[in-house]
Amino acid sequence: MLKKTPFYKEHVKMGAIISPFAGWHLPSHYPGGASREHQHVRVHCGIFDVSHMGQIILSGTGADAYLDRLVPSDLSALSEGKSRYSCLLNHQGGVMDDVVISKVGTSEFMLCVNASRVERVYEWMCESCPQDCEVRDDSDRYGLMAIQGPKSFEVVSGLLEASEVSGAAALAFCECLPVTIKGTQCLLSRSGYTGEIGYELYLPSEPSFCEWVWQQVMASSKVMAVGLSARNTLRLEAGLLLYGADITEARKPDEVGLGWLVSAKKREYFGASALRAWRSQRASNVGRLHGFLMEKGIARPQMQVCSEAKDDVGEVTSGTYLPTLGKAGGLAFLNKGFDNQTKVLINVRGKWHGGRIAPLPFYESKAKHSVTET
Amino acid sequence: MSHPPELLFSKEHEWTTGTDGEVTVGISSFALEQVGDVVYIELPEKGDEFRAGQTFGTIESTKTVSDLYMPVSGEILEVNSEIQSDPASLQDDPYQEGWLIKVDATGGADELMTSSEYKLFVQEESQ
Repeated sequence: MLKKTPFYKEHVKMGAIISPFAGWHLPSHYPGGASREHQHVRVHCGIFDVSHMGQIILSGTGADAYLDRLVPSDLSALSEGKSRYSCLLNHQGGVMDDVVISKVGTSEFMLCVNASRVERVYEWMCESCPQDCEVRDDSDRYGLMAIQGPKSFEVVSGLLEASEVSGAAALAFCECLPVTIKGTQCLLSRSGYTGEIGYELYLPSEPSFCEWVWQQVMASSKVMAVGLSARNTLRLEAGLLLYGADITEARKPDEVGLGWLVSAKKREYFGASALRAWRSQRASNVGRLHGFLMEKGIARPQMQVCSEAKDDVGEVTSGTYLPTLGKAGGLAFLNKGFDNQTKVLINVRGKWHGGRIAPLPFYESKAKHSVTET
Repeated sequence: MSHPPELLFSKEHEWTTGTDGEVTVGISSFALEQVGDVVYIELPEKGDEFRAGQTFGTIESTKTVSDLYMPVSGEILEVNSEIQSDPASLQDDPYQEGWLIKVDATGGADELMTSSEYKLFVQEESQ
């Protein structure tokens, strides 16, 4: 049984094409199509229903110490109201999920996890957390709306009480702030998954309230509702990874470009000894994710990638048409030894199409700020 | 949603202008709405031969790849290369400028629906 988000009725009202995604009914696109939605986010502002993302709350006097074991990143400097992108590793050092961790109270953290990983991460945390911490799955308590694009602040500020606008304006990337909307406490985070400046708004999952907020935001002429198709092309242009496609539990963080999340100073965290052993034995001889752009055709996930000499060198993990670039491209996991501009061949349903390894991100917003979010 | 009354439709959402001699084949506005927006079209070569039901090409959106199925059997007489170089325009006029192929049809069109039958068919399919 697929779940419906608290914004579901609004999608139906707007005539969205609804598709199943990670156990949820979610809008794939709205009338007008995904390319138009994509371009609107690049130039104006788009809103996304991302309520399928999970929220796991970690609290208690031992929360800081447990979090330090849970992730390979050094989060000791994470202060209240700040967020960090990180990942969880399994005992083999493979990436269990990539997550955004926000410190929302003195000894309280919110982990925003991928929809397909909520159960896995929740069970892992319940099994591994000590008695001085509490782990709670609050995923059903939130409706999550992403508001992304150059005009996103104008749109967000229209929702807020006048006294809270300056606080929201001062939010830096990876900062979050409790805000009041229609007398209801919500959490506003400066974050996103599009490569544009943007916000994510955690709302209580009461459908009538979420629908009201959706309608308020959609009333702005600058705003277009955006579905999962455009969310995927936006994140891919920005070089952001998708769990389940580019990242899997079989891959070490180094292999998927997330080695930077592993602190060189930390010794003890889940997966640490396996990752260290792997790094000392194999890390110099393994493949990694690369960006690629196509000359013709569209490469899709799982398609075979070969060298010009037709040697099998890897496979596509994400691939589609990239509207801002006007050409197809994506991410591929390739054997060691591929440099930018190296030519490759991709097997597109039995036909070989040429491509070239290309640096990431494919697109960078003119508004300067870095983006890392799931 | 209206579909031109003079066309016949397949369950795979292709339309044809007729069943014998030179027939023109395209894809329905309903199918295009489901796809979202077309970013790439792959079509066969002139002279290629297909049986009804075989895949003759693909249309791709940012999200998916959809196969195109021959509603009739026959040899490809002509391919719409203009629509291939501007796939986004397919949405604007799927029943005229957005034709995909012209076929020297030799049969195999037994299960095609009239426009009104197709309208009922998509209503059921979208429920």
